[in-house]
Order: sequence, then C-alpha cells, then structure tokens
Amino acid sequence: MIPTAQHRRRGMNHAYRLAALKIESDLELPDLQPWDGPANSEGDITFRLGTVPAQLEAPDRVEAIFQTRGHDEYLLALPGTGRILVRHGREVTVDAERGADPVSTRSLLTGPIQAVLWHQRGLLPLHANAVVIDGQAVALAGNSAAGKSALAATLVQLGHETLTDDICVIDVDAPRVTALPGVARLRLWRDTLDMLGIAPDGLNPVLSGKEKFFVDRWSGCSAPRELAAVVVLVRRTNIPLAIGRLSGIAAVGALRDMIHTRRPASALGRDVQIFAALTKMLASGVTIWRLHLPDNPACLPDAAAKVLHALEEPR
Amino acid sequence: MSAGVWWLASYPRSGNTWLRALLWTLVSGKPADINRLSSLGGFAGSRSQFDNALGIESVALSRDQEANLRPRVFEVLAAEVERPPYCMTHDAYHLTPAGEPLFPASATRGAVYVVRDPRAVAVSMAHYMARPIEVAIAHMDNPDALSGGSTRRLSNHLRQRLLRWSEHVESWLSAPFPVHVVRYEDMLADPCTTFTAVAAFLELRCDRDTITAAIDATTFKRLQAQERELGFVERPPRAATFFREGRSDGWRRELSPQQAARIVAAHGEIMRRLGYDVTLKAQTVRHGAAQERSCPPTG
Repeated sequence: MIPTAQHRRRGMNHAYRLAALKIESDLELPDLQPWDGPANSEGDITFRLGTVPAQLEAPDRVEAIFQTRGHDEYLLALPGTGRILVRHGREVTVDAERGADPVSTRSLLTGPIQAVLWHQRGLLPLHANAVVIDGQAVALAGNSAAGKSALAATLVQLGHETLTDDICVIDVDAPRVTALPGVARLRLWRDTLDMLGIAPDGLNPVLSGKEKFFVDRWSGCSAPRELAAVVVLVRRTNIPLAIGRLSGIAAVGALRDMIHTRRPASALGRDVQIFAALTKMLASGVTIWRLHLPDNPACLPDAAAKVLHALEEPR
Repeated sequence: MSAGVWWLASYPRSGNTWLRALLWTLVSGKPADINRLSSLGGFAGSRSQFDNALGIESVALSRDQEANLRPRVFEVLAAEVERPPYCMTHDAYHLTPAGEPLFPASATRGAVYVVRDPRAVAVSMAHYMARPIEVAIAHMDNPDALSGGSTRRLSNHLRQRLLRWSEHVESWLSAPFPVHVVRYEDMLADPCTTFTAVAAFLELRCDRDTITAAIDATTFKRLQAQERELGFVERPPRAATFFREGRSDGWRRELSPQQAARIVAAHGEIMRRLGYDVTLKAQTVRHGAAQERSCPPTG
C-alpha cells in the first residue's frame, strides 16, 4: 500500500536518473535507473507524497479526469489511485487514495505523468520506443498495442541497444535533433516473450493482473542520440507487412498523432510549440516512415528486417 | 431528443457488421468499404478511442479503473462529434464495477440492437473462434464471458462484458433509452422493410430507392467478395473468413439435435419472446430461405 499524505516522511528516500535529470522521490520507482551522479547535487524533479486539492484554482480546462491551468499546472484525479498534481515541469505531488495499488501508481508516474512533465519542460515526448542503429536513434512510435516494445525487443535481439521504452523525448533545440535516453528496460507482454523465447519466470510484473513484465536482460544506451528516423507503427489484423516513407503534411499528421498524452498537452497550450517542433524535425532531415504491422508476433523478425532495410535509404 | 451516440449493439456474430456496412452506404452515398466502417463512429471497445478521449493510457490503469472510466469516454465522444456517431458495441448493457451504467443515457441518442437466433450464433461463433461448437455454446451460457482484454497480450480492444447470450439480449431490451430491435433473420428475409425501419429510427432521411441501392451494394456476396479481394481488418487471425455463410438456417445442418436442445434449454424463454421457433429441429434443412431479396420496385 502507498503511504498516504499523513504517513509522509520528511526526507525523500530515493534518487533516480531520467535522461540527464535527477529525480528525488518519496516513492520507490524501480522502472528508473538509480541516480549515479554526485550524491549531494540538487534534484531537478521531485516526486512527493502530499495533499493535493480536489480542483485547481480557476482552471482553464476541466476534462473528464484532469484539469489544467496555464502551461504549468496539471491535476489528474483518478478514482482508485488518487490525485496527482504536476507543476512547472518540476514538482509532482501524489495524494494516494487509501488502498491504492502502488504498482498501478508507479505505472502512472513513469508513464503519463512523466510525459506531462516533459511537456511542461518544453520538450517533445513521443509515444515511442527508441533503439540505437548505427549510432543514431530510431524511434518506433505507435498507440498502445501497436507493437512498439515488441519490435524494439526484436531489434535489440539483433544487437541494437535500447534507448527508451514507451516515451521517447525529442529535443529539437539541440544542435541536431536528439532523442534522450529514458526508461531503458523493456516492458513486454507474454505473447512477445513467447515469440522471443524468453521464459517469464522470475520477471517482475508491470501491472497487477496482467502478464506484462519488465525485461532487464539487455543493456541500454544512456546517452542522448541524434534522431535519424521515426517509424510510425500501424498494427492491424490481416494487413500485409509493408513500410513506406511519409513526407510533408502526411508526415506531420502522423507524428502529431504520436505525441504522448496529446490531450493534456493541448490543454496545457502546447499545440503551437508541438507543430513548430515537428516541422523542425522534418526540416532537419529526420525521416518518417509508416510500418503496417500484421497482428501476429511471428511477423516481427520480418518487420525488423524491413525497418533496417528502409533505413539504409539515403536521407 | 438530446444529442448523443447511436449505439449499434449486438452479441458477437449477429449481423452487426452487415448493418454497419449498409449504414455506411446510406451515410456516405458510396458502396461500403468494409475496411473503413469504423469511420461511422468507431467501436465502443476501442483502446485508442479511450486513450484519446481521456488523455491517459488505459494500459496504465487497473481493470476496474479502465471499466469505471468507460462511461466518461462515451460522454466525451457524444460531446465532441459534429454529428451523432454510430458506434458499434458488443458489450452487454451493464453496470460498471463502480455501479453506474456503462452507456450513460445522457450520452445516448438511442440504440439499434441486432439479434440473431442463438443456434446460428453458436455455429458462427465456433468458426470465428476456431473452436469446437461445444466451446461456443458454453461461452454463450457463461455469465462471466468476455470479449477482448486478454491478460497475455495487449489487444486493440478493451475488455467487454458479454454476460450470457440471453442476458445480453435482455440487458439491451431493458435499457433506459429508445432501443430498436432488429432480427438478423428479418434483415435477410425482408431487407427493404427492415432497413427502412432502421433508417427511420436513426432519423436518416432516405427514400426507398436509396435503401434499395444500399441493400444491393451490401449483399452478403459483395461483402464476402471484398473480404476475399482486399482482406478485412476486423477478421481475427484465427478465423478463416469473417463473412462466412450469411444464412439464417445453416445451424440446422451444423448443430447436433443435442446441441440445439441445450441452447434452447439455456435461452428458450428469450428466444420465444423474440419469435424464434424453438421446436425447429437440427439436421432437417429447409431450403428456399430468402437470401438477398431486395425492395419491390417502386412506383
């Protein structure tokens, strides 16, 4: 059970690394790498247990499960979990309901809450995995259930390093468009483990009641990498495996659909910045692809081969 | 009547896809493209629709949280569309774990409920699941039956509760908003009258010629030919074909008398209420059932 605000400890017990940032946390977040920088350095982001109001004061947007005010305040109110307030891209306050499942709360913090933090910090979180191919990042983007992690795992088994799982943060203000390292350990469903020949025994579950597991067996890349390409996955039953390059408006539209937590991002007033960032990505030579992926894990090796072959094309 | 979603509801394998193909044709004025039917208004169990409407990934939520938030998704859908969507669902009309109706009346304009003889559903379901007919019959009598939401893989579909076949039917018949019930067998036997009534219920302004053209454009053979030629994105990988037979009496040669009797024993009361002849026997195929009758000529 997660300690409630009343049980809050004074000092934060945990420190983690996310890209170059130090996260200090009241909560244990085993998805993240332990902090390996100077012990007494100041944290960039804090995850605290505390009291969160039921509503923001004078919110600009009130949606079904979240509210926003300006660019810098986001409040998630989720029955069964509690309330989570994210402010200024730096402060996360968790007001957990009594009896809330800590595994589920952690999954929210390292998933959608992480993405909201990046939006507030002015960076571009794509709903994507990323792997390193020939020294550059290739983002595998897609909605939930598109097969991102499964395709990433297939490429990793071919010898490519993983850079991040599920959220790929893009920095378009760097000298070259760059993908930041994120949560490097992959989260794979049972059917993908079976296809890859990995036994689930001893693996930690990502969520209670679902056969999705953390897989730590591969080393991840921990440095930012220039972004070479984004492959947008479209998984459907009964479609032939195919990859094609997108350009212009089609590429911007496909990328816009891959923005992580797009609705909160829009509520936080990020639409114009996001459009500018996407056009900058394209102008800088990042190539955009659409991969039609049949709903069958047996197709993953062929899909990985198609991606690698397509990326050999000159930019 | 307030704005809201038109639900196109049915137990799986009951003719919902044919109804959607016909509506797609009526709304677009073009012959149905079976791989674009979702543009009518989507699928109530769609994971991406949930994620987009709420701004959070369903995969990060527990099963109960996911189920409890589904009514909010439909409220967002009803509030944000330009025209009332026609949204397909296989869910039973039931309460979420938090105790509220899955389909809020405030977000609903009405529902067309397609029902089919459960003996035919069992046969079709067995082919669809690629499992023995016995398994399909047991599935239809399982109060905990689900569609989607496997724990082994992440599906595009959220977990949907089906209940028992007869409970599914009863749940929709007693829903607290207008429900127009359509029998699949009537869609086959007298499509003109049946679809004219559906169009009127859905407030679609179509004359008889338009409905006749839509029926002709969506005959079972045409839909089957499209699937053969282009594939069908809604066919599960394990099923050989989605559009398999499209008859109303095929069950009589595929079910054993014992299997047919078991279905009648489990669901007979609702079958009788819907006008299905529970005394019909298996293994005695009666030929000549109307398959593709269209409207009588106008004028």
